[in-house]
Amino acid sequence: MGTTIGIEYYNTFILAGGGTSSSDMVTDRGKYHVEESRVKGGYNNTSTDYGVKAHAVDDEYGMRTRENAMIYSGIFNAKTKVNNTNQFPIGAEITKAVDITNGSIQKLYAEDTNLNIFQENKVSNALIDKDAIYTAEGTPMQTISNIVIGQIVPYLGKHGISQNPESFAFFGGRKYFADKSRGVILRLSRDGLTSISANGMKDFFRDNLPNATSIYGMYDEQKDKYVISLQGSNISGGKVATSNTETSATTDYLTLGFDEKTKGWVSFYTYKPSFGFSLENQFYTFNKQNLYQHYKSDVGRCKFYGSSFSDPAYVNLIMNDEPSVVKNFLTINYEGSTGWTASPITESHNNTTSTTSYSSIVHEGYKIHEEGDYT
Amino acid sequence: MIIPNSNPPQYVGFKRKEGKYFDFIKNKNNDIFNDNAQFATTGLRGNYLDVTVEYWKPGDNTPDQGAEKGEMFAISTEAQRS
Repeated sequence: MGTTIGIEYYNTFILAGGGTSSSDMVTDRGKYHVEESRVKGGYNNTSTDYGVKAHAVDDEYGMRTRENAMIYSGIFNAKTKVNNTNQFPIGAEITKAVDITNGSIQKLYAEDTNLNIFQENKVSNALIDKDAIYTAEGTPMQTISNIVIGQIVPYLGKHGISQNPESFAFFGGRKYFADKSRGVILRLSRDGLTSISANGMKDFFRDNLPNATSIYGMYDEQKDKYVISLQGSNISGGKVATSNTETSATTDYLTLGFDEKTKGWVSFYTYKPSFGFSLENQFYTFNKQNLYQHYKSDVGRCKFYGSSFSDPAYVNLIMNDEPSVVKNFLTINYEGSTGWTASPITESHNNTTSTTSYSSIVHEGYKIHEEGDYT
Repeated sequence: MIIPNSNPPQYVGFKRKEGKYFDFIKNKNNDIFNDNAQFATTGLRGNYLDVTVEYWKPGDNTPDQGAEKGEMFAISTEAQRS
């Protein structure tokens, strides 16, 4: 007869039951998990343990949003097919922070060996070390350089992109964006930051930018214009057609364009884009989810987004030959194509003289007829 | 503005002359000569004029056709010192 002898040593655990609940452990007998710490369960065989820890332990971990800092991953090497873009080792110096007093980072735009960093109140530029990326073919990055984002150099001028990264647009080396907090539109090019809203539209943007909740910027490559659309419930201005015979003031948007050739804001537009871009010299904008191409020759002028009637084109101007002199304006004339009407015409004089003063004079619309229609 | 039906018909609006379109600026509100003319007196008196010049063809509802292009090169006024 054999007998059972208890030993002090054990290296195996047997867990009864195969179910997942505690009752299964009892009722579902006959199924066992066997775990042992020694290879093949042999006495004094090689044992397994937890091994070394790969990284240092951060005891005070927790989610933190660093809105002024950047982090970069490992690289992707197309030749060796090594893809380390999911690696963010805590031991390597892979973060770069900018001054938190200038607000959060709203927009990053990489350009050749520069990285443009748009904060709310500042625009900076950092060198990107391209050697570290281009020459790392199997050799460790650290042997060349462990700095991917180099020294951060701010541009002169206390201007940022506020909280409107959607206003950013670029063409060639020129980058355009809106600074809502300071009420200006800016261009960033080789000569630094330039306020393009100062070209005749300073008052307009100072008054309307604070009311805009969204400021969409896009570059029209076909006509070389930076198009910006201020949208918000407190925006008003402009005039659009509401039917074949009626016009009304727009209530919640203003779209206008800046032309680099004339260095000025050349026109308002009657469309309300939800975004836009240029592709192969063509200009496209979105009307909600639908994409529209501009400057198509088979669509009538001033008709946007499938409208069945065109919006009016108009020019507001002030006529003032000798500014300090009170004058009698006798005629009005223009050079152009037939079809323009003038309505209304108002004058500035306000009852300062006697019988020949006219206040709130409105002239009804002129209608044009070719010479000879009426004699 | 009403175009009268009586003869002879009177001209309304811009008139083409020497490559430009001309019209007199007429004052609708004050009839200083009290002559009850169909078109009130010519001329507006002031330091400056605010003008809105518009190009719009309200009846044009043909979406698939290219509408006429309205071109505006220059606009001016003739004023007399008073």
